Amino acid sequence: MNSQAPILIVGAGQAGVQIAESLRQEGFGGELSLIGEEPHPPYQRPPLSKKWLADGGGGNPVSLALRGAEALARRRIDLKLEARVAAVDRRAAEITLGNGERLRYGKLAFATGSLPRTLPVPGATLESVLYLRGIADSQAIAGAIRRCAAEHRRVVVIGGGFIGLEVAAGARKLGAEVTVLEGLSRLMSRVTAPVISEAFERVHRAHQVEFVFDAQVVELRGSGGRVELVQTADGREFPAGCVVVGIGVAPDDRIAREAGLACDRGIIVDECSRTGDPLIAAAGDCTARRLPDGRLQRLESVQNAVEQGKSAAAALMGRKRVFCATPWFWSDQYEVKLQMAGLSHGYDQVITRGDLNKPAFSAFYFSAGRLVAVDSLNRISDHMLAKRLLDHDVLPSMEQVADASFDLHGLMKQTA
Amino acid sequence: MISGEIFYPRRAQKCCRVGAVWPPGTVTYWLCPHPVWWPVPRVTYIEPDGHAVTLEVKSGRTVMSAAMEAGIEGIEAQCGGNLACATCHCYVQEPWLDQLPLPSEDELLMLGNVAAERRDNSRLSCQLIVRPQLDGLTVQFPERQS
Repeated sequence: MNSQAPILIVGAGQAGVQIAESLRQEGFGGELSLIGEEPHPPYQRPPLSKKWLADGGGGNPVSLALRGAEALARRRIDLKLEARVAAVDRRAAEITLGNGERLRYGKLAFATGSLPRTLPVPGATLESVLYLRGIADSQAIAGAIRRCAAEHRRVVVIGGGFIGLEVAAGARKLGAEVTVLEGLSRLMSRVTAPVISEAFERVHRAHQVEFVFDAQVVELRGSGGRVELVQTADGREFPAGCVVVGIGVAPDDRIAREAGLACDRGIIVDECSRTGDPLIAAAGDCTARRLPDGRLQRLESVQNAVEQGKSAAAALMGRKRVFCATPWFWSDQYEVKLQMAGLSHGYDQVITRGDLNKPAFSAFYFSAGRLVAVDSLNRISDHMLAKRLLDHDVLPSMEQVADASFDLHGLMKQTA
Repeated sequence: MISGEIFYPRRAQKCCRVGAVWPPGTVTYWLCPHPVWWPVPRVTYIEPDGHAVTLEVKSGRTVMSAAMEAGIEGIEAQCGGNLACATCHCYVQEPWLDQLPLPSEDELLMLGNVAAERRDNSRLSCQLIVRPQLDGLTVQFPERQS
């Protein structure tokens, strides 16, 4: 097949834009289309739960712009907005849009992202039960929070993970009272050590956020179609002016699955972002990456979208580019910045450095004596150092980390 | 008007300090003590290959945000301006460095870990807010950001 046959990219978020621009950098000269469902040109999502929300969600969406339409046009990237892809026919190599239009492709890339998990309980479809994915959601949440603040009603956040806690912090900043209902016994329990969870719990409590742990939400009730009450399994009831649900995301792999691509809670790709079909690549939140040991890894981050996007573009051009950088994530809550380098999953020991009460400390995660990840709270230089240590595989021992007087920065310099 | 310079009409924005008055954002535009229409400031970006692009950037926007929207080469800005990634590193050209507010402690820490060479005029473009007084600001992006 002609290598300059048109390439279609489904999804116009961080990963989609990266694939498109990397394709041009890789020298692709053919037709290139970026298909997005939302009315906005590609934008940056992380601020939607952080600064943008805390500022009231009334900001100009342009300030979030990842790429303007003009910038894409200059690179001859055809941006199709408010276009939903209904189906992909791999045999005919064409996709069908929601309006019935058919587009042929030479090659195809999926960058469909993820969708918020929905609450599987009665009343979850009531008005003022809100999820966060795009600009419109952030605006709706900010509006609901402001209304709650004005009416002196509580904002109930379901889920004590990143999104839930960032929304809670934003709601406090907008002046609303907040209750966070968490299903497990501590905050962000899937991704951090107890010491980090406790530090964040203290920070939020200092800002008068109320926490309820081990809370299994069983029903949302309302009147006039609007939510008013959240009920948990132990019979407790929490009055609510609005409910924000942040219980994780699920990869949006529906179209790929229906097209017959191998999916397991995400489109399965290899380390070069290739799917089972040589004409199709995928990148970002919508993927599940097959690791050399056979496990599937799902990363939800900008870095993953960017790196997999670069790999996917290379793959579509018939080249091999492996994504091997250390994963990193971050969260902003009030004046506390959490930065995470590496994946702490499966750790057996945690050593902290710094002041736990301030909070300004880092948690070093070890697995079988080997450093695997570092979470830093207000310790920017620790985070940046950890990324470099993990990238270059220069790993300090547990004794070195535990010794507060040991200079970790010196370790990097020695090998540099 | 300087002789020899080509004059062309520029978009204007009311008041020199929208959002710049302390505390930020509290003085709205009709209360502004500077009832003057200011031209929208221009910022020049020099891409890693030396190519220069000049954009009109509205007062109050960051140097990073306008560069991202316009698709300027040499900037990644992965964290979207949250001071978490140091991938919007730029070199501020003279004479503008002294005109900018000093970097915060956090920005200095991040600057200590940029991927490209750190120079005396290194700044993170997500922390540089455009003001009419900065009309003509020129920044250069380095070879690599990550």
